[in-house]
Amino acid sequence: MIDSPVLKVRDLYVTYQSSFGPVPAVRGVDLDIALGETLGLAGESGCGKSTLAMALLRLVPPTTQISGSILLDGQNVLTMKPGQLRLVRWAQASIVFQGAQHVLNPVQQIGVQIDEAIQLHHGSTSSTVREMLALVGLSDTRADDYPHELSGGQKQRVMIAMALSCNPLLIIADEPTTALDVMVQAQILQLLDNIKRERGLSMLFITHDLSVLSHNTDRVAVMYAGRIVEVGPAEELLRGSIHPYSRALAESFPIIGDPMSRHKPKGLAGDPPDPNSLPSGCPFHPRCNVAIDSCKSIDIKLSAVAKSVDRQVACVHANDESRSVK
Amino acid sequence: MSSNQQYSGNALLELRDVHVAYPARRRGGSVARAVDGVQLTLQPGEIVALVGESGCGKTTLARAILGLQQLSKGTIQFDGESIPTDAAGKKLFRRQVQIVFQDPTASLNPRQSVYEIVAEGLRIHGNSENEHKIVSAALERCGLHPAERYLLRYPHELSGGQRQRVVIAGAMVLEPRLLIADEPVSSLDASVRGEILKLLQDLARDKNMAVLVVTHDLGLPWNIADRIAVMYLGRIVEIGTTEDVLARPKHPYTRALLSVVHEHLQLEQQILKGDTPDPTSISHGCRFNPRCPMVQSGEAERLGILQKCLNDDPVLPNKQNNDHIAACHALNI
Repeated sequence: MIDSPVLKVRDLYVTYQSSFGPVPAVRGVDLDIALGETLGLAGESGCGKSTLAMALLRLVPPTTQISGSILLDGQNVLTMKPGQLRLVRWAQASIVFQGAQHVLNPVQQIGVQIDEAIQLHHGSTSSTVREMLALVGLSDTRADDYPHELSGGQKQRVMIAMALSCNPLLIIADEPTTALDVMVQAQILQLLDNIKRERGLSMLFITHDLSVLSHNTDRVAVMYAGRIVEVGPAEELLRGSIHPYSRALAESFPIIGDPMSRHKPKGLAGDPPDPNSLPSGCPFHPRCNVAIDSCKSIDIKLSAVAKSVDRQVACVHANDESRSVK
Repeated sequence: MSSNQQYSGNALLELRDVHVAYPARRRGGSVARAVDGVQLTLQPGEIVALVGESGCGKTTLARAILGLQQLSKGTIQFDGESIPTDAAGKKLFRRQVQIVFQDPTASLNPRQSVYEIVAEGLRIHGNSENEHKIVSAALERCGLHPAERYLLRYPHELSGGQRQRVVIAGAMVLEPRLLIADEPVSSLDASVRGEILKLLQDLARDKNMAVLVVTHDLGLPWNIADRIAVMYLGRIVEIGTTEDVLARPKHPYTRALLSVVHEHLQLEQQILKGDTPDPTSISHGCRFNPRCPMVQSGEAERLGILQKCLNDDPVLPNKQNNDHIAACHALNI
């Protein structure tokens, strides 16, 4: 299936214009998502993951420069005319945004809001709203409710219903569970998983929390300073990350019961870099505990690792014997 | 100290049968029993994690300990004495008990420099000798060194992690004996999380300061807490050392919570249905019975405790400080 991916991104650059000058938020990203596959995209705030998600449907401010190519089901999103783009949005790829409470219109009943998405992109009957609510586990009497009458988890279900309403091929889920309680988060993840399986959907699952990715994704990509620094099969990558950044990210969520992490919280000194003034060479070198002199000047490109077929890592140490899969 | 209640001499903080009820919003509405009978003690230097879903009353309990929330029943003793109600007593108490909130951006005054923020507590409590030295030392202790580089900055010039360090430094200048941290890392980036937790743990050790961490994240107690109290609908339903509770959870609620944490792979996933429970309508009998997997699967009936689950409110057994106990009928067969 990899030869005809649902989403194929090549050499994507997204640069915002600000009063301080251009801000490179995404700096050369390649991505493939096959039919029915879920790719997890992990990274901290400011690493460019949300910008990437928005750029996939060209939902960025008009002054933003985008280059490269984004092939959605074979068609390049970046060269589409506005009319065609409108047809693709929601009908081929839709987004579940983070923070449902800010996305839903507070003075409109949720049934009307779901219907609006259907009408704008598809054209359909009112029975579909009920079907969509049932699909996400809400009773159809909820259609007349306003957002404030729903709990956080229910609002997120409405968002998922809206995203699914036009039968897209690809769902982009941008931190869909971040503001939710643990138990409700588990419910939403399970719901997404079931729907994905039933409909054979592809998904890009964006999160800052690596621990939610292990069960829900096929492959994982870790992003730092606008680039992907490591990508590979989910289990393999989460169990034995090669890039020092993904390793630190994985270690900051302890394995409960593992004596290695008891009373030993692990973090990463320093802060995520400011996209306005990225460090020279490998942008991770100021925080990296295995950096060597050349890291300050040479930026290593993402490339395949000798040990594993499906792994790619952007680190000078990627093929060191001692740093390979644990 | 009233004659009919005995408090253990060495506890720093002791909560007995604490209740907080919020009155109904409109006439005919029901009272929200946010905290509904909590017992808890904290020893000096101990880190205790209070874990639960939103709406379980953990933040209300933290507010009650700070004296910001009136109790409807029960007592809270700090260092063997009730929380003072007179102005002078309150001032002294507040110096000893400090709080760190979830969102450092909201806790910091955007128009105050780091120096002013950290020095404010010292000024309020009339300790302005060596102010500059104390402020610098607190900042460096909290990982912002050299302090000179940060003193004149404003919150918007700092990253999220640095802001939380400033908040912690502002609490630490008063050398509190108890620090309440309400979700101290949940708004921070993953890589920064560990650093802040490490700071809290080191401060507790070095200063023999007790810390009550309120959190919904079960990995956090594994990282830093000595004991865990699991809270459900206003009540602590399980408490014990971190190792005991996380490795051998007794209460079905704790087991369910642990099973959905993906870092915990030994338990089969048990996703509870429904939303976070509502403190205005706590169910009869065991408060967990509408969501309890043991009741739903029929296991409670097989064990012959179903009637108890539906009719009797289970209580936490009496205990020594470090005992691992839970309020569940299934444990008393």
